[in-house]
Amino acid sequence: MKLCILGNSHASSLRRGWDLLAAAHPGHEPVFFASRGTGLGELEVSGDTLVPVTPKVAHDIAFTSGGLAAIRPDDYDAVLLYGLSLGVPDLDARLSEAVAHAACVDSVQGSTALRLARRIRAISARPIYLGPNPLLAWVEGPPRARKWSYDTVFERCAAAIDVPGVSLLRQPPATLHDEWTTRPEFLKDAMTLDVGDADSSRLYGGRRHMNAAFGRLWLEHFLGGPAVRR
Amino acid sequence: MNPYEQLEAKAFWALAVARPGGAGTEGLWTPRIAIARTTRVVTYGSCFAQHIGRSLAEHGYRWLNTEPAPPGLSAENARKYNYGIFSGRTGNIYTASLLRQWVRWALGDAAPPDEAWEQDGRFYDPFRPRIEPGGFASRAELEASRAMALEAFRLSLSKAGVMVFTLGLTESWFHRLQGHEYPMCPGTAAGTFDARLHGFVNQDYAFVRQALVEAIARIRAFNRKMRFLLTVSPVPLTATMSGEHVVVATTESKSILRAVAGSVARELDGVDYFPSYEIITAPAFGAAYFEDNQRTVTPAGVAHVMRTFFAALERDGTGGEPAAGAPTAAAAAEADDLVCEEEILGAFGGRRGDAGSSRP
Repeated sequence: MKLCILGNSHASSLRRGWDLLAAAHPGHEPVFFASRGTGLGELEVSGDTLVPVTPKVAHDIAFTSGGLAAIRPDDYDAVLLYGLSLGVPDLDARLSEAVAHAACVDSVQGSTALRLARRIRAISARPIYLGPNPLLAWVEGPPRARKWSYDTVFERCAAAIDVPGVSLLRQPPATLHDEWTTRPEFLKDAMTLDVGDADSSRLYGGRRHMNAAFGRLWLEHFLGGPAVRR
Repeated sequence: MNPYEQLEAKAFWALAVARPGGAGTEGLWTPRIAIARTTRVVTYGSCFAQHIGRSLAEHGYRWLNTEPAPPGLSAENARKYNYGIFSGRTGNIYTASLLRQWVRWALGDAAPPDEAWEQDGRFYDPFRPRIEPGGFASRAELEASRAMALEAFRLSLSKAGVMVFTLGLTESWFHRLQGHEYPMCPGTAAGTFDARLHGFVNQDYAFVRQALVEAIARIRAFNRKMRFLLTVSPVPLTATMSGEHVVVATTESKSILRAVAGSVARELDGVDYFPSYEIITAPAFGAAYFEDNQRTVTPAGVAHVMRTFFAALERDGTGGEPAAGAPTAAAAAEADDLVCEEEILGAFGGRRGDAGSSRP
């Protein structure tokens, strides 16, 4: 299976995870196109391809893909959009139904991931998968306010996707500490996205970005899932 | 020599106002409390308070928002659901007695009454009647949301070093039997008016002053470091229940609020008054800061107020480094989309189109 993976900083864990996984999956060929932040939002449709409109994004996708200048989705079996400002929002249980619903819809509709999915769907019928940002890593502290359940929020986010043939993916259970946090060990040695600049391959701080072990688990789960398994 | 000979130029009309180039705002406000860029500031009160919160944040001051919009919510929906308007999601607190009521509820001195307004299957919070435009799905949802707001309000009282409070109204509505106050007359924004239960009170000087002093004292008992910056909304009343002409009622109401603010600021340590009211309304400044409806404050007026505010802070040295730039009229115009429940009263005069975007 030839897989087109578009992502931002979060794709670093997948890229590094694939290096740990490749030997065990000779039938899969992922090609990464990544740029930090919302850089990939600057890909535009030209014919049947997505092309970068800024030199920075042109550089980054060439660097991360091994030299490709544009993305032609039909060259792949499926497209995975990872991170790209799409989060499953962690919502206080005391929020009203109306506010919680709006937060779910806005999380999806306002994401770079969905904007890219629209552009891809305009030029290709290939299946598109959305991998949201990892949930924050768990930290020790006082009990937090009661939350809306992850399942409820996830389903509302999935329902807010209005592009046909686009599926929202859950974070693999093996990576979770509880329903709203990621196991903290996946923070260890998490590295920044390598796009060949001075900020590449540096250690991350914070609770948002995960390491290669996380990426390996995530990709194993994805490649072994019913959507992709061949 | 007599005492007048010792006074600064700002004390003389001829030198401060009737001078070539017109009146200036130099010396209009000398801050008595320090607001540094590291000072946590919370803003509550009438509609005009929103300008101060926004401007503080835009100028790199530490405006504290203890009830931020949930993750994912767009800026448009955050505004729709009244996030980021004040430091907590209280809605407008128009009177000093409403402030005292919120303080008592948040600090556990009293509990909010068991009251919710149902209309067409939706539930409205009598104390934040327009906080959710379509109301709440259930009474439990309303109460959970109010509990969240009270928690955020309490947190803001505990964390802040300065509270900016804008006094807006003296005209108020109370529950005749239980004594609690509503921010809006029942039956206007939501609910049903019942003359047996809902009583009008036009608060006089003594009433307002006592409520304000008590609110300040209770907050200080909880957070002894809290200081206060009082302002008075320059925006005239939308409607009056006083029986007077709305212009006469406005003058009386604003005069009371202005007098209370000045008195409390003079009497209590750690309380200051910022004259935004004067900048907008005083003929000395041209009285040109209202739109054609003579009610809505123009963006230029808001910009003048905030320019004066930051210039005084930075001249005084309490604001640290100079601000990146004074607010422009254009920026103020963008920020002029205020959220004010009281505007709805204009609809009851059959002149809905008259309602401006700026309320007390």
